[in-house]
Amino acid sequence: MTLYLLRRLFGMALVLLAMSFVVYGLIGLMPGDPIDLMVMSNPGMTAADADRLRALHGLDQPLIIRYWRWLTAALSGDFGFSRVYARPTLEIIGPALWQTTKLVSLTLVIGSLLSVLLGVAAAIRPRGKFDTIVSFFSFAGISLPTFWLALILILVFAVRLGWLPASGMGPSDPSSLWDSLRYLVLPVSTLVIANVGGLTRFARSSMIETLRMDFIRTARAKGARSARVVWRHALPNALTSVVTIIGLNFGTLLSGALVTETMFAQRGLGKTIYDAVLGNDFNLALVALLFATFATLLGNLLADLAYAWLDPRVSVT
Amino acid sequence: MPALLSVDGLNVSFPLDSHSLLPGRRRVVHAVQDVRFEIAVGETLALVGESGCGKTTVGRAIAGLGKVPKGIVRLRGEYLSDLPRAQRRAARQAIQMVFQDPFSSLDPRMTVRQILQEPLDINGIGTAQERNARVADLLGQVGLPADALERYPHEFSGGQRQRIAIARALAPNPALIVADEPLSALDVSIQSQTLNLLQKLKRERGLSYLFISHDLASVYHLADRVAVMYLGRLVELADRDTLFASPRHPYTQGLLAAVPRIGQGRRRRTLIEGDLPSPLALPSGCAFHPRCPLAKDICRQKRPEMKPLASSPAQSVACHFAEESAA
Amino acid sequence: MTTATLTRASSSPWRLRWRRFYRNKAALSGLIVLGLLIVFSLLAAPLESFLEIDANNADLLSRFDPPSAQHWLGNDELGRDVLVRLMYGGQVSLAVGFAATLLGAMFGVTVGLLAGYFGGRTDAVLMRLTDGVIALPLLPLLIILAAIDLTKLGFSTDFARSGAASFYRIVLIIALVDWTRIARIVRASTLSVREREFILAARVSGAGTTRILVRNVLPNVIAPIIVACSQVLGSVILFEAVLSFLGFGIVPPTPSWGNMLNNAQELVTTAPALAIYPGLLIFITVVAVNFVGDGLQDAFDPRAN
Ligand SMILES: Nc1ncnc2c1ncn2[C@@H]1O[C@H](COP(=O)(O)OP(=O)(O)OP(=O)(O)O)[C@@H](O)[C@H]1O
Ligand code: SF4
Ligand SMILES: [Mg+2]
Repeated sequence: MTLYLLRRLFGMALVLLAMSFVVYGLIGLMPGDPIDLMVMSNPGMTAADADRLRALHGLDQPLIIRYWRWLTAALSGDFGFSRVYARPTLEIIGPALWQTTKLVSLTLVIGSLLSVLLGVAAAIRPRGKFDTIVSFFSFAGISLPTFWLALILILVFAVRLGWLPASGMGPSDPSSLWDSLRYLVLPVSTLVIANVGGLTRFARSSMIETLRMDFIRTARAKGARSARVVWRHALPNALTSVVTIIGLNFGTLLSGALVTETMFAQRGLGKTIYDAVLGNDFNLALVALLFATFATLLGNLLADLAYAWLDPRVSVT
Repeated sequence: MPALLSVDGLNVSFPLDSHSLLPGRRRVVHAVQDVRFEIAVGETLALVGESGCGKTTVGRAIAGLGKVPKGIVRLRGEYLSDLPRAQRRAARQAIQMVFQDPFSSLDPRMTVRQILQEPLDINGIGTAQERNARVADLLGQVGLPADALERYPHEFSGGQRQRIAIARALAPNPALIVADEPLSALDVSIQSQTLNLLQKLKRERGLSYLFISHDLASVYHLADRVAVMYLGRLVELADRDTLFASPRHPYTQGLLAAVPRIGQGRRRRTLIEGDLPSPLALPSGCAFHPRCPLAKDICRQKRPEMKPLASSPAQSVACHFAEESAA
Repeated sequence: MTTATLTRASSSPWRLRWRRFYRNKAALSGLIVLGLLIVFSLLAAPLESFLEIDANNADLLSRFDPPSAQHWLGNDELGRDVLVRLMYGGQVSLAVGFAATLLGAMFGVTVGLLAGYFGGRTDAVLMRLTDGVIALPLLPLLIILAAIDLTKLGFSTDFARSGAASFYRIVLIIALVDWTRIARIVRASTLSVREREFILAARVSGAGTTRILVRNVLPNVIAPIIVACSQVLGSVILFEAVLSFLGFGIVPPTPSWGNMLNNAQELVTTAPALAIYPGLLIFITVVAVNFVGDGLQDAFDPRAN
C-alpha cells in the first residue's frame, strides 16, 4: 500500500516535471518578451541596454539553465512574480484555488447525487420510458457548449427574470449567507448541467451491470424486495463508479470550470490562467497551470483510492 | 535418408512481467529445453504431449516465429541463423506452417485470392500471370472450386478454411510443413478428409511434416516417427510402429494407455495420475517423477539424458530405467 | 467432392452493421441532421449570390437590422448578414472538427498500433504517455498552446495574423490532445488482432513488421477506429467552439460558430438572438454527432451496450 502510494506520487511528480518543462519552454515562444516590452515603453533604451538587462535577468542563458534556476527556486517554494499584479504568484493563486474549490466541490456534491439518482432510476427499467428520457437529456448535457449554456442562463435568469446576479463574486462583506451564495447559483448550475449528463450515463450503465450480477440475482431470488435490492446492494456499486469517473475526469471538470469562471467573472484558477495568458503574464499562467494539473492528478489518485476503498474486491498493490 | 531439418539444443524461454518498466530480475518460463531431432526428406515426424508441454513453441521456433531461439536449426545442412538476411528469408520459405484454428488463421479482410497470393507477392515469386495460375492451381490441389477465389473466409466452413490454409502453406513450394494440431478445431467427420488431404500432398509432392497433435489415432495414420514431449523436453523418440508397440518411457506408456487402441480390444490401465506441475517451478531430476509410477530416489536427484536404447538403437528414451521398463 | 458446394454465403459484416445502425432511430436521425448541416454550410456562397449580399461587408448603417426579405435572420452588430455568416461559420467549424479528428486519429492510430502490436515496454511507455495526457486539464493547456507567437517559430507576421494560420493552429493543437481515446481503442483492438493466427501466418510468409501492421492489422481495426473517431468528433467541435469563443481559435473576420459568440455576452441584453443561433447550431451538431457515434458503437459491437 505504502509502496503503491509512493509509486503513484513519484509518477505525479514526473508528470508535473515534464509539464513544467514543456510549458516553461513554450513561454519563450509567447508574444511580448518582458525586455521587449520595456524597450517599447522606454524610447531612451538602446539595444545594448536591452542586452545588459537580459544578461542581468539571466535571459541570455540557454533554456535548460533558465529552467533549472526556475525549478530550484520553485522547489524551495519561490514560484516567482506575476508581471501584471507585481506580487508573488502564490498570493494570487491561493484565493483563486479557494474560489475554484468552492465551485467545484458544490458541483461535485450536487452533480453526483443527481446523477446517481437519475442513473439508478433509469437503470431499473432499461429502455423504458424514463430511461429513454434520461438518456436523451444526458446526451443533450454532454453536447452542450458550456459557455453557451452559461450565456443562456444569464439571459434567462439574470437579464429577463432578474432573479440572480449575472456575474461577480458578491460583496466582500456579505450581509447574509444567501448574499454570498446567490453569486454561486448560476455558475454552479452551469457546471452541474454540463457534467451531470456524462455522470448519469456512467451511473446508469454501472447500475445495469450490477443488477445483472450474481449476488443481486441471488438477493432477488431469496425474496428481497426489488426496491430494497436496488438501494441496499446495487446503489453503492453505482456510486463507486460515479466517484471513480469524477476523479478520472477531474481535468475535464477544471476545463469546464475555466469557461464558467470566465463567463461569470469568478476569480478562480481557470480564469486566472485565462487572464494571465491574455495579459502576457506567463509566469502566473505557468504556475496556475501546474496547480491545476496537480489538482487533476490528485483527483485521479483519490479516485483510485476511493475505488479500492468502496469496492472490497479491488486491492491496490 | 538425408536430413532435411535438424534441430539440436533448442531452447525457448518466455519472460514474465515483460511490461514492467522497472529494471530488475525477471522470472522466465522455460517452455522448451534441449530439444533435438531430425526430419528426413519426405518424412513425417509427429510431436505429441499434454497441453502446455511446449509443442507449439517448438513448431513456431522452427518456422521462425517468436523470438530467436537458442540452439541450432539446420535446413539441408545449413545453419539458418548463419545465413545472410536475404538468403535466410528465402530459406525460410522452405518451411511453412498450418495453424490449429482456421477461423483465426485466415485474415477476414482478404479474399481467398489475396490470402493465397500474399506469400507470392512478399517473396516476389513469378510474374503476375504466373501467380494467377499458381493460385488457381493451389486451389485445385486442396480440392476447392475455382469460384472460391473471390470470396472471403467467413463464407467457408471450418474444413474448407483449413484447406485454404493448407493451400497458402503450399504456395511458396515448401519442403517442410509444420502443422500445429491442424485437425483439432474441425468436426470429426471433416478430420479424416483433411488427414487424407495431408497424406495425399505428402505422397504427391514428397513433403515433410512436423505434425503436432493430441490425437494418437491420426498420428498413427500419418506419422513415420513420433516424438513425445513432457514439460518442455523430449522424453521418447522412435519410429511409429516401435513406439506404439513397445513404448519405453512411463509417460508414453501412460499416454498410449489413455486411448483405446486400434485393433486391440484390451485397454491397459496405467493412466497418468496427478496434475501437470507448473512450468514455473519444474520438478528436480526427472521432471516426470511426481507422477511416475516407477519413480525412485535417483529420479528426484538426477535428470535422465535422452539416449538410444542398447536393445533398439532407433528408439531414444529419457528415463533411468528405460532398458527395464518394456511394458 | 463434398467441398464443391460452398456453404454459408452470408452477407458481409459491413452490411449487417449498416442494418443495425439503420434500425437505430436516434443514430439515423443524427446522421441525417449531420448531412443537412453540411449541406446548409455548403450553401453559403450560393445563397450569398442569390440574395446579392456580401456577408463580410460591415455596414454600420444597418447594425442589428431585424429579419427582412434580403437578410433572413437580420444583421449582426457590424451590419453583416447573420444567416450567411452562420453558414460560413459552419464550414469552418465542421472543417476544424473533421480535420482535427482526422489528424488526431492518425497520431492515435499510430500510437495504438505500435503499443498493441509490440506490447511490453513499448506498450507501457506509450500508454503511460496516453494516460498522462488524458489526465491533464486540457482547456487551460490548449489556451497556453494557442497563445504561442507564430512569428517566434519563424513564420512571417502576415501568415501569423491570417485566418488560415489560426485554422491550422487550432487543428494542430486540438489534434495534440484528442488522439488519446483513439489510441486506447486501437491499442485494445490491436492486442486482440495480434493474437490471431493470421498474423503469424503472414510472418511465416516472410512479411515484415510494417507490412503486417499496414496490410493485416490496420484493416482489421478499421471498425473500432471509425467508432472512436465518431465519438471524438463531438468533443473536438466543442473545443473549437470554446477556444474561438475565448479568442484563441479562429480569428475574426473569418466566422466560426464559436467566435460569432465573441461579443455575445455584451449583446445578450440587446440582441439575444445573435447569442442564441450559433450556440444552438453547435449544440445540434454535437448532439447529432454523438448520436451517430453511439449508434456506430452499438452497430459495430452489439454486445457492448
Ligand atoms: N508467448 C508466451 N509467453 C509466455 N509464455 C508462453 C508463451 N507461449 C507459450 N508459453 C508457455 O510455454 C509453455 C508451452 O506452451 P505451448 O503453447 O508451446 O504448449 P503446447 O504443447 O502447444 O500446448 P497446447 O497443446 O495447449 O497447444 C506453456 O507453459 C505456456 O504457458
Ligand atoms: S526417470 Fe524415473 S521418474 Fe523419470 S520417467 Fe523414468 S522412472 Fe519415471
Ligand atoms: Mg499448442
